[in-house]
Amino acid sequence: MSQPNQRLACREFQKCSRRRFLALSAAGAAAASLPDWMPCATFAKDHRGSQPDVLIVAFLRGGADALTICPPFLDANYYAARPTLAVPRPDSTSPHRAINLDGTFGFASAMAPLYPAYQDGRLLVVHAVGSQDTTRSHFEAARLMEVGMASATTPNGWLARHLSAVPPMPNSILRAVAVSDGVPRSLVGAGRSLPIPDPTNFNLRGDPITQAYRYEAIRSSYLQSREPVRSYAMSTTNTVSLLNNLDFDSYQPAGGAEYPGTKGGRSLRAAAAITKAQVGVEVMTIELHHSNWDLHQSQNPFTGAMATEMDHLARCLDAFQRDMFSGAAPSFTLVVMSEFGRSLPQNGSAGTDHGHGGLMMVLGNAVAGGRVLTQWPGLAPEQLYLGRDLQSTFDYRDILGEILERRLGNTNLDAAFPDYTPIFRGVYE
Amino acid sequence: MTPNRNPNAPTSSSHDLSSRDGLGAPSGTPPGASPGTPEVSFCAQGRRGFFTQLLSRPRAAAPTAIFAAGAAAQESRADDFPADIDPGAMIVKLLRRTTYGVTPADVEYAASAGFDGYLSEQLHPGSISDPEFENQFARLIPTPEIQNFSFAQLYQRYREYPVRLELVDTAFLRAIYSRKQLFERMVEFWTDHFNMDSLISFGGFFQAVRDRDVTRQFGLEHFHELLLASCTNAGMLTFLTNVTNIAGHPNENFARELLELHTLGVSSGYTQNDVNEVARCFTGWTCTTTNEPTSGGLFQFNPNFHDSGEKTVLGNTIPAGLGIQDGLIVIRMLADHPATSTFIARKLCRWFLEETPRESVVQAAALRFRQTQGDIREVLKAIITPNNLFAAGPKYKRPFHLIASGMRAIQPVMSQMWPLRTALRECGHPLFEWGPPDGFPDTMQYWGGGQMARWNFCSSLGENRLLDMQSDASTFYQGMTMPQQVLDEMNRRFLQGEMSGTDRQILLDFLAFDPNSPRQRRAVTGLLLAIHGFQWY
Repeated sequence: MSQPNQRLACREFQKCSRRRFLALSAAGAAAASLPDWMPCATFAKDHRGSQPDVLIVAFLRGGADALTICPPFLDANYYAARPTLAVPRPDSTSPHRAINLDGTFGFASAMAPLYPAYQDGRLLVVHAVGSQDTTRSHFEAARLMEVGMASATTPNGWLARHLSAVPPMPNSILRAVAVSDGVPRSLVGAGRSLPIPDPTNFNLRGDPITQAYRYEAIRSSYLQSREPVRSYAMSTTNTVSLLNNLDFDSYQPAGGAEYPGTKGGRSLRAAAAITKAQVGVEVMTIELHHSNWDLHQSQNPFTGAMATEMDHLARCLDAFQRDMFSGAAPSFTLVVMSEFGRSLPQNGSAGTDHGHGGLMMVLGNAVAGGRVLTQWPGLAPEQLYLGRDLQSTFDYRDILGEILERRLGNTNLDAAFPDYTPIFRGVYE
Repeated sequence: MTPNRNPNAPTSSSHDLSSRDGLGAPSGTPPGASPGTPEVSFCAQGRRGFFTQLLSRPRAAAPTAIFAAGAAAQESRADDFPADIDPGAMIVKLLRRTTYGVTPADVEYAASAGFDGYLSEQLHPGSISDPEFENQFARLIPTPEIQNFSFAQLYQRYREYPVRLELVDTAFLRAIYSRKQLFERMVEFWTDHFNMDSLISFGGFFQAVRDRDVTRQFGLEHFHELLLASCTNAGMLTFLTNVTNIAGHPNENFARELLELHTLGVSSGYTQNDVNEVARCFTGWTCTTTNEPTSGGLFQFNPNFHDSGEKTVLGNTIPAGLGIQDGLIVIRMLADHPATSTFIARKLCRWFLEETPRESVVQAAALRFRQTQGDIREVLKAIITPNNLFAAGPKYKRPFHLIASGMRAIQPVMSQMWPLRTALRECGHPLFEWGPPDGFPDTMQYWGGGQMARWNFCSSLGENRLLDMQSDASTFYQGMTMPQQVLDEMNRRFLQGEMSGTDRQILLDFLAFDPNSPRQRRAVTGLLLAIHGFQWY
């Protein structure tokens, strides 16, 4: 067995304690049926351009208010419908005035930490994008979006179908990680994928002498289980050795990136570490929220709950992009999405209700960023969806489809989106 | 089929609601509608009809193994069974589905009571004495008095954090030690169905009150009573932001989840307009200020905030000027709606039988729901039958269930309860803290991935490595010198004789490391809890 630190090309992980090495040996013995994987060595040295992007899907669960994150500050209807919640124009004197992105759209001031990424052309904002479905239910909207189809009767999620349509990295034992407690619908049905709430702490505890046997016993026993329990058990045991190679504790983010100490921040930090380690993980899903995007009341985008959410989102994403754009990190695409935007009019509780069209953001090496990509439908009463909400003039699958085909080597988008043909909108140059 | 109602039940809004002509304009002022005096009370005392003995029918013997039975039944799914399954042969499966883990004592008790007798007793938890739970509760819960406190008392005297912990701890103690096992399974079901996140402001206080006054009070009564209690629960109205649903400034959050999650189910035919109209009906349904010294955190109907205009809900006109009756009418309308009967019946079939229950079983349960005005006991009797149990494939334990069943198996003496809370969190199932209103999922697909934390808890439990609790699983095998004897005892004690040959061999091999050492016997027990066979019920 070779020294683990020789297997890992990335300097961040070269620290490998004896304790960790012992644990690794035991786990490695348990995973004897696996190929002798060598994470970095299996990839060409110059992976850029030839290697597909690692995709990180960040979901803003609860319905993030696109009209606050990226206000259309030239539109009088916006200000009329939101007397106390509208973000002031960039040319106002308000301390909470919008940051001017392109003369038409802005960032709310709490999004300021992410503005440099936009200026550097790494961040693309996509506006008036979303589902064609009429539902205003969180769960149904999120489920449909994660399934990626017009009805949720298909068990498999869009990421699972994508993964089955592209070949895995050589010897990859873990293709997708959901940094969450459960499996998100988008990854349901994906082989070699796991929910790992904390990738930095993933091993069987207890007597180290019997650990290897216990892994073997667990593998044999769960072969009797029904799917998906059986496959998850196999993936779990396979993944142990992989993650134990990564010394998360001593992982040093590059570029002076400072991840917030929140669950979202920790998730993104782990996502960066896993991406840089190049262990064959192709897709990661995370949830990004400080407390809750579903702000039916006291939304307060200036000093209150919505400001907290946006500031947290912006700091998380900024840390990730700083980290990933410094040094020789593999190329990536990170896409931010939410099940829907919120109603144009504010409600009686100084909040907004479930709406329709929303916002996506795309960060990455090849992204044609520094722009707000939209076919703006307008906010006049007759331009609204069902008289109340922002329309979706782009389908969310237009964006996802372009990412999969242009940057993840998917040449069969029908597999990922069987009942929709994505129209590429120019996410990449 | 109207169940017996207590004739002495107080005349109350819920009594009015039970009249079927609730959609007409009631005469006189409805109780509770006078300004500033929210008085919705419920007839909680009514004890419902007798358990009807099933007609004696020809019985067929049936295999007991859960995997074999489920698999055999799957193949003949579309067919009805040629003969009824012998209830006696389904005792173990009855216990598996209605408890948090089966012990040999449970099997003995249920076998002597008989299938019907045991189920009947479980459906009337008020008649079950619970000394072991009470003993453990007195020993481990530092401030038992808060169980009886109102929101205001909690708010005035306690910090929220310990109240939240105590709720989780009490839920664990009940699942592990209470003899009212079916009731506890139902409480867990309703807790998810009417999910409330206790991490919102004052959520711990709200949850404690809700747990007692809604879920436990009405968990086995009529659905409309439970629904009314939930809709008039200050915590629920706060969690779903109805407290700011005000005439002219509607907030549809509560209305939407009421239709989608609590009653009709999504895609059952209601429209956005119905959501809007239901929201209008519930304007003014709010909560008293949390810091009022004696009356904080209570349901309040504020007529000044109520939209008094005419509404149309699901095609029914609700005339102008009915005040609080608007919402009460909607509650009864929803509780009586056929879509609700199917939605609730299907969810209960999933809970007790399998993830994709047979449609005929769902429809039979839904019919029973409609016949009995949503008598939850009767619906459960229609679901938990020998035939349905026989046909149902295995269900994967959610983490709370797994942990409780491990504890029932090993029976450690706890001195603190935090290790259970920690395990629950690590397994991704922090009770009362699911943020969205839909409740923790009940699918293998969701829970199947998080196995590492399950394995770790199970091994630690068997090996006595959890802090603040003491057990010695090796004592279960005292005097046994042969590995085969140890395995036989493990099979009997933990798996009701249904251990698979593969698991038996795995455990034998592991035991062979050091067959007679207590340490290895504990480790083997921990491994048994962690592997395949113990994960299902």
